[in-house]
Amino acid sequence: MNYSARDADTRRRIVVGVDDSSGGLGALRWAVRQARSSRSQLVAVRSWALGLPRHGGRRHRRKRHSPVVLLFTGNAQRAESAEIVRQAFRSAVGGIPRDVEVVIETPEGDPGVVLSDIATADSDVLVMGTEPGGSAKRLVHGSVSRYCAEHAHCPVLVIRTAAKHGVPARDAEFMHFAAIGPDTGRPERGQS
Amino acid sequence: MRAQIGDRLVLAGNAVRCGLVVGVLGKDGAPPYVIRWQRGGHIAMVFPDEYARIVPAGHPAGTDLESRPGQ
Repeated sequence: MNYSARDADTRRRIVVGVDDSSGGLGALRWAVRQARSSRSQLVAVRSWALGLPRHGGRRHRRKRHSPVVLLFTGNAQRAESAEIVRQAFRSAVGGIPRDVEVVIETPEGDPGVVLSDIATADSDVLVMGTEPGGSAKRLVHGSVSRYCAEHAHCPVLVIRTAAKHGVPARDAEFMHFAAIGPDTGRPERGQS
Repeated sequence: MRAQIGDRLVLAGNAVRCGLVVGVLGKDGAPPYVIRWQRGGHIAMVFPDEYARIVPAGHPAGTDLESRPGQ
């Protein structure tokens, strides 16, 4: 245990918006690497809201979900969001890393608003994936990354879906990393 | 790291945060923990590292941490 009060006081948080698109998994990979190399806390956020298929954790739709919600506590949505987070960790980095402090938040609300509210410190870094625009989903729900870029109080890192731009996801991650400035530490380059 | 329901978990960092342990998911008090944040009152799941501290139920340490400046 190499605990040091100074380290702890200056430790930053990497806040990552979790989704299972390739950009979202790229964002999670970047966040894990960055948290590990800079000894930051990793905050994985998956919000949910009723009535929003993309945002409500209802993407993996199941028959047993009633279309009408009579009694609602949010526990089912919360549990489903937590499961999406764990599944995303499995897909991106093989599971929740043991050597990084991980906090999983599954709050209710619009993801853009929720992420901007959680990443409030100047030293926080907010990271998320984005999908190519122009889809019907985008028209209905808007762009989370765009909302965060305009409203967050900290640097925002957006990982694009690689296929759209013809660059490997890893290079894209480092390209975007360079854009947020030199004071955020350096990711480990050795890993894929 | 060992905790039981009712303890408090104090997470260090540039913003010190404190939560009440409401669930212990590991064996024999091991992480992960389900906590209720002192500020805001919402639920989170935490896989703590060596910067985190468990404060036993009833112990006063850490109760004033969330009022520290710089948040």
